[in-house]
Amino acid sequence: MTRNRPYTKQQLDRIGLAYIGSLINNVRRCRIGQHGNAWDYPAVAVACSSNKTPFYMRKGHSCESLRNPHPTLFASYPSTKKGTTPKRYTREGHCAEPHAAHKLLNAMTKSNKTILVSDILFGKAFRVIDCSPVAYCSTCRKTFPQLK
Amino acid sequence: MTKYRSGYIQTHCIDIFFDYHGTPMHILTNGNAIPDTLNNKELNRRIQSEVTIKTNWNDQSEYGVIVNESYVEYVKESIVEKDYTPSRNTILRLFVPMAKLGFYSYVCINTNEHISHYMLVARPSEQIVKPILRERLPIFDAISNIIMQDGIITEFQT
Ligand SMILES: [Zn+2]
Repeated sequence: MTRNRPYTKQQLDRIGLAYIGSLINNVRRCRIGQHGNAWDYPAVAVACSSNKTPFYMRKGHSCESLRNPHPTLFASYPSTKKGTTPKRYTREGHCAEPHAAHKLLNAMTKSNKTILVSDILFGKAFRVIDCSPVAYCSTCRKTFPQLK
Repeated sequence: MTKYRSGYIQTHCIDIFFDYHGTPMHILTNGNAIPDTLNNKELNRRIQSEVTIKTNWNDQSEYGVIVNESYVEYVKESIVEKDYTPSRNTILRLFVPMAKLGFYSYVCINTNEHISHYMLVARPSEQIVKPILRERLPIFDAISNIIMQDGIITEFQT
């Protein structure tokens, strides 16, 4: 489906919350042997979209580090920018935000479009167990300066 | 014995099940540490499977369950933008079904150094009827590992 305008933050919030429902169902189905390998609930989920055409949207959840982050994302990691590994931050690539951004950047690359990390609009990050909004962590705020 | 990796523990909410002096216990880690003696992935996943099969996820009622209202308030008060406050059902949906099966159901609220802090969310209202599982719950009852307040376990050493 092609969109002719960007997603709003509110739309991304609703998508993020609906995504949590599917993550919880996946865990239940996995545990009864019906589907996949999602044994446990991810801690946090988020949706993001591109501010530039095509206005793709992707969802992500917290997970162990991305093995091969998209080069645009990697270039924005605090450790890449400063040449040092942050100490008291969440590990880069662990949060829902970089996972969602990585998928979005890959989709844009496949469409031969280049966007910057600052062209990504994020919805709120939500805790999967109870759908309450959680603050973006300091690593994510350094990786994606548009996050406050 | 395979353990959960630390990166996995930090990014997931894992249901852990054990027996504390005869009381069936459930904790949801919420991205926090797992007590080392309970970090047994294969055993825990077998229990997760059995528990999931036995749970009626469509039953949202709190019949037969005592909810810790302080936890509901704790979640609601932690939310800055009140428009995004989840419903009571949403806050309790992963805990009440565990209490209905006979578990005391806890959430980990933080881990400092080697101590994790837990809040009781829901428990059975009647005398404890142990859930009938093929798999034996691992025993975790070393008193030095557990701190109780008012009969409720609030901390585990990890
Ligand atoms: Zn983060």
